[in-house]
Amino acid sequence: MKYILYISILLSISLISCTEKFNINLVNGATNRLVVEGSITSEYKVHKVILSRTGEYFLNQPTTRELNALISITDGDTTMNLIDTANSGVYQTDKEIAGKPGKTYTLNITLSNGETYSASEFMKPILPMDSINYEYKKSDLPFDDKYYYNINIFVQEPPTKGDYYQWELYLDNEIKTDTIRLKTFVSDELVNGAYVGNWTVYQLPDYKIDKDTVVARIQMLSISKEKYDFYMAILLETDYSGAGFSGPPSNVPSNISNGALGFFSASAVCGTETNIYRVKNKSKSKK
Amino acid sequence: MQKAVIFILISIICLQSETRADVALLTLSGYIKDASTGEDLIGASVYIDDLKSGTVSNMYGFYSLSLPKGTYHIKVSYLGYQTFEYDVDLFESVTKNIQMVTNDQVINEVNVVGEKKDQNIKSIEMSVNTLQIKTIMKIPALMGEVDVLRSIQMLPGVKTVGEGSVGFYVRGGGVDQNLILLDEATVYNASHLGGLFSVFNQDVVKDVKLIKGGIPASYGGRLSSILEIAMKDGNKKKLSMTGGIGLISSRLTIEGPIIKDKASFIISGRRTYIDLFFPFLKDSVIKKSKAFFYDFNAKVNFQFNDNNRIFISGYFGHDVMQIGDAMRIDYGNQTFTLRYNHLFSKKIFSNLTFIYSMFDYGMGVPNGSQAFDWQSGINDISLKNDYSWFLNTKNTIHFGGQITHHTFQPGNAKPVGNESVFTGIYLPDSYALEYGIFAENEQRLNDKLSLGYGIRFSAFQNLGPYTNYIYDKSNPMDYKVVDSLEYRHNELFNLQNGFEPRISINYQLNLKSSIKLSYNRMVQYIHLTTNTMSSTPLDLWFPSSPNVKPEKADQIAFGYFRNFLNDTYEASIETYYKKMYNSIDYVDHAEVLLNKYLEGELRFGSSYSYGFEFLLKKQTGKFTGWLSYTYSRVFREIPEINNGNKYSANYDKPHDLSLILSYDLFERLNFSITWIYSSGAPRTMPTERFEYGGMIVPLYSDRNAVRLPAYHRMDAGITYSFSKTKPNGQPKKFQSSLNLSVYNVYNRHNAYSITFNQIENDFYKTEATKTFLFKAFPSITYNFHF
Repeated sequence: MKYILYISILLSISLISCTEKFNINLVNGATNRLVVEGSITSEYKVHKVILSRTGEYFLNQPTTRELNALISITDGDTTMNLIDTANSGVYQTDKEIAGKPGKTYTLNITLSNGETYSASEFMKPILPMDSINYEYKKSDLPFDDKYYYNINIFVQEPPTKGDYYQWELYLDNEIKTDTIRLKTFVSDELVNGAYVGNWTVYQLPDYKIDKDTVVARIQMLSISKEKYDFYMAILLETDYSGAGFSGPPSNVPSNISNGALGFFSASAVCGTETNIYRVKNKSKSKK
Repeated sequence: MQKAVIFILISIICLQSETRADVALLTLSGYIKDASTGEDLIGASVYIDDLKSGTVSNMYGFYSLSLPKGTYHIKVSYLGYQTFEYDVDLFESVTKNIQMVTNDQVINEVNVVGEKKDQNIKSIEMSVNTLQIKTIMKIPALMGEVDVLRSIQMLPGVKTVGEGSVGFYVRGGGVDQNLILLDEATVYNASHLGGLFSVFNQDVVKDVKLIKGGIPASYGGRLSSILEIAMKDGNKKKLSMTGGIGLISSRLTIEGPIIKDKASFIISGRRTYIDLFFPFLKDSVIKKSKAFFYDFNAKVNFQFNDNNRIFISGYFGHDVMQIGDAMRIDYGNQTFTLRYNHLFSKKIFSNLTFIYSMFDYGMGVPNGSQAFDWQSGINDISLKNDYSWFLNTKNTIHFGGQITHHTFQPGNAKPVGNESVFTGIYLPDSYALEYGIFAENEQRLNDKLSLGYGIRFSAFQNLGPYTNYIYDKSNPMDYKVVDSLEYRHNELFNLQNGFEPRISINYQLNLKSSIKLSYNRMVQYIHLTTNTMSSTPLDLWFPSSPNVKPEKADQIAFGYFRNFLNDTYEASIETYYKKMYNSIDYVDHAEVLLNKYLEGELRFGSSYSYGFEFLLKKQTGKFTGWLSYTYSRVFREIPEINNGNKYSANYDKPHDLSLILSYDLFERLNFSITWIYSSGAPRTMPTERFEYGGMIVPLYSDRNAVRLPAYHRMDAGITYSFSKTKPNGQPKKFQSSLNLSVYNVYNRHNAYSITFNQIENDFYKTEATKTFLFKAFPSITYNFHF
């Protein structure tokens, strides 16, 4: 619901305003802090942790990766070591493995300089979705002539308060939601205990379906309130920042110890598939 | 408390020393009105040269002078009117109603030089600006919409956060620290179209007064300023119509006598009409969209006799914005005021007022699985009783009280239709009572020294049912609810109160200049969630509570006032220091909407501001206008914000200059030009970046450490009045004028905001983008009156 609010405010400002590129010199904080991006899910796969450093704001190239760290994830009983085989700062579990909902996972990092960092999260169980479907529809936003495949889910939300969810979209096994701005995530605040039917989690512009049949898979993840707040904060500080609606710019929170940035999360996952059959495209523009 | 008692004692002593010779006084009193319309004139000066003493008419045009037996030469003056002089033999109390004639009505015949306009020198008022609607109408306006609040923003000591908002910031105070009164009723959100325009229709506004310091004890409830807007009473002489057709809105006002010279009415409406063109546009969503606002004002007054009058006035306004089926926002204010003026004697004027005031907004998605409807607002019912006792030529005493019942509706979001998946959120309404009593004396000690001293005692109680949450504050960035306490229906709890002393001193150096000093303490019991860059209609009023202490402020101000060239030019220099306690700010990424744990998002500290203000003003002649310059700073210090270091408030813009010029080239052609300059507003900007989840995320260091580019803008306007007089010299009944204006003449792209974004096609590249609201914007308005 608040998504709709941010988008509407941005939209109404954009209706009366103009923008132009602006040259500004920013102070470089040069704190060179460690950034951790990692997760474990209940999906059977290789799980990753990426270590990097902060950089100058107008760096305009990749930030430095942190190499030669020792990383492990433990649930108290089992410990997995993560190895950076490509020496690229991307540390991976040495085999495919699935986390267990109901357990608390702890990430431990020891850097080559001896500094240690840790983070832990409880993997909250999740109820499976009943089904998904799709519907071919014109956008209901002004100045948007495009037609979309709206992908809808049907799921029972449990009566416990304070549940948070995230959805990912795969087309023919390829993830389409690989950046935070494309992911959908919500709180159960307004739907607690309700049967959530026909809820649009993705709007796919019709030109993205380029075959007669595409297999769409929706993955639903349980996330913590902290992860939800973290994602929301990232959007507020980036895509939504022009709304003047989020309060003053503030640093996004982190769940990593010792002053590091980023987030380590544990999520239970469920997924459902449907076939999307291409209709004749009606969109006039692709922009 | 102790200070307050001493203060009252001193007041009583002062009074006693003055009341000895009171026995033989007679009263000269009456109403001061406009001769052609019968409108009461507010703040007209009644002066007796021989005694070097006088008074000014109050909000209802009433004046009263208590004088010893004798013959007096009385001068009545009011800006834009001919000075009225007469002699009176006072051997018994006399009622004298005075009809003033405007300069326009006699423009060619009478030389208006010589009228004394030195009220600013003589009055104990300081830090006060009044604007007549005639002056406001000469200022070139955005989209041709003459706007009271945009004019207020050009006064010294008043700041804005950006041109997208009519919100204003007085002497370092927040946007919620201004008490905006329309005929005594609080206007909680004075904006239309999300802040582009204000709710005050030029055709019904009579008088605008902004009090920034030395605030009289009769006012309370806000820390920084009082903006008092008086509606016209309606023409008592003849039926007349006023209206205008503008680029975005049209207005129509009808006013006239119900009983000639005894009772009159005024009704006025205004509506925008851009949405009427939507169905003709191509975009199918815009076809189904709405965007409009309207205002409706009405007022009637009856004068039963010289001692009894009633006024009933109301305002109703609404904004509606709907984007197809995707989104709808509507909001509006309603006010209702019933006033009863009664003269107990010619010396004691009383006013009893009943006030209803409300602001609400609704928001929602009308159709589909995400359909919802969200309502929120505030409403007040208030009773107020004030007395003015015109004791003698040296003392005027004001006293009275007010009680207000507040209802806060923080939010009720409900699902709409069968398809909606929402279950809804209801944040319970909460209630509170606010009280104030005051007494104050304006005392002239001698020819040179005048004093104003008073005290207000205010109090506030929450009223159940109410749930008070107890927070674990061990993590300053994230308070967690650990317990809650329930209060029963109608249970009064959390009594808060404060003594608010008010003092002002005027020492008149000579006929042309005076120095003034004032001190005021203010207490504010209700607050606004203004966690946004500029205020929006979705901001929410919330009460003080066990978790939220009242805000308090102490302000001292010092000023030097001087008039030049026979009072043609008024100049003033003022400087002030203001300390504010229990200032409210918000934790990072605070969730202020639909959050029942809102109080857990608040952080408290102190703020202070200081400044210097200069004003040079010319109000008479062909050439009028003002120059105002302000230097001011405002800082906040809140332990949980900015690592506890002090930081600039969002509206801390040190330099601020406004130049407003108007020139009557000849009787029917007026040129006006304004130029505004202010330092850029402080903002928090990134100092580093990091990568996460396919995003480049900014990292910040100090809050509000970098400034936006300076803001400056010129507006210009030209008004041509069609023939005002018939060939025989008589004024025509139907008068009309055409106004052409250009906003932002030299097309400066003033920054509304600077945002930092990733470039679409290059993941690692970021750039800064400036958003600006208006390019050069011409508009045309046709106004008429008959």
